[in-house]
Amino acid sequence: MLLDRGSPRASSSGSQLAIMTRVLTLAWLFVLAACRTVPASDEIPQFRQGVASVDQRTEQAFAEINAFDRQRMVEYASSQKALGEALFEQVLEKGATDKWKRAFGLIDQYSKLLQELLDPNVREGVHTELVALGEQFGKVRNNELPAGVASGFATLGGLLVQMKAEKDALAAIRAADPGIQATFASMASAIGENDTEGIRAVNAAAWLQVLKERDAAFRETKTSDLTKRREIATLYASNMDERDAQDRSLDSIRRSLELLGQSHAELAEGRTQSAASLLALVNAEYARWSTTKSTIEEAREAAAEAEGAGK
Amino acid sequence: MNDNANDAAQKNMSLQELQQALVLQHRALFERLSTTESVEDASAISLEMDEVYLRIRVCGRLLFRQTSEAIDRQIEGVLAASDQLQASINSIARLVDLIKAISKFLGVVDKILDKVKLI
Repeated sequence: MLLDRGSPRASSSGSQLAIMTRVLTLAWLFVLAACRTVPASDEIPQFRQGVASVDQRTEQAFAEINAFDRQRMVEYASSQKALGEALFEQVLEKGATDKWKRAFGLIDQYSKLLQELLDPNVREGVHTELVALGEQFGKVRNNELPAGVASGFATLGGLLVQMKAEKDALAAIRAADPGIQATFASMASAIGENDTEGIRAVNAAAWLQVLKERDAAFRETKTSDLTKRREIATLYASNMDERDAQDRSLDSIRRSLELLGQSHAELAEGRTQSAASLLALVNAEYARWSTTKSTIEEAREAAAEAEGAGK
Repeated sequence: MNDNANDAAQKNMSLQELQQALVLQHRALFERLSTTESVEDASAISLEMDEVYLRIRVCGRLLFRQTSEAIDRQIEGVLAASDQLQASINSIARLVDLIKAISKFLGVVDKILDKVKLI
């Protein structure tokens, strides 16, 4: 029913509406304050970035390990009577590495959806539409709504949507957490806690094969040929450096996976500050890994120089 | 292969334990190589190392395959959470669409009423 602007009923109804709005807003603000901390939109992009960096490092590490193992198998095959495909099967086969790729992709997709849900623009969009709706209500009643009421409803509406989004985000994080923990734990285990386990063990063994070959070359060189022997000894030392740096690189990836798992567990508990600290450590691990990669490159260059000098 | 590695293979060891035993065997051979002066002994140890390395590779390959299959199963829980998130995003989008539709409807009503007032 349309009420005349000047009617007592209209002004009484308007002030009641304003009071009710203020009470409701305060009530919801109390509820908001009582709610467990939900991830702010900052932690999720950091988590996503951490996952992307580990994905990239893992892919690179797998390619290097397979290439390095291939060289070892070529050496072994050259001493055999015949060749066969079985000799050259990849140690980290494609079907298996594809599963890692899929897992990282799904975690990225999940993080992207979290980011989208927690985007402050979502609340702004709702707020804007509610403001427009409020204006329309005013026109239909043939008077303006009491000052601030339309805006109050729009703000309340926006807050309610934000609350729903944050509640849904936290529920999803908690639902995903067991899968995330299990996945990252399996990945870390596959890499190996030390160089007698997992991929690290295979890589370390491959390097021992290289050192064995250097040793054989050294033994075959006449003791009078000091230049050649010095060159081989330099190569041996460079190979040791490269081996150690590569193992540190793999350990860095393992450590990053553990940190990502821990940070997600903190997000699931609503502890955003702890999560943020852990994600900062993931970044630090990436920086450490980058430095290690430089060390590997330097060792390779030193080895190439030593080999070139002897020619 | 030495006695430890043989025992490990014969017992129903886990693949991880077998890999670890082989790796330690491989290192033990390398240590022996570094102290051997005889060319024949060095050659024999080198061949043994090759054979042990092959088995380390096979273990590593099987372990990696097993773990990757486990990862493929474990990630399904994240997929379910993503579906939840998408549903939540869709419901907010529907709310916005609803609000827009109501605003538009009221705009149309307003124009009709304006015309009625003129009559």
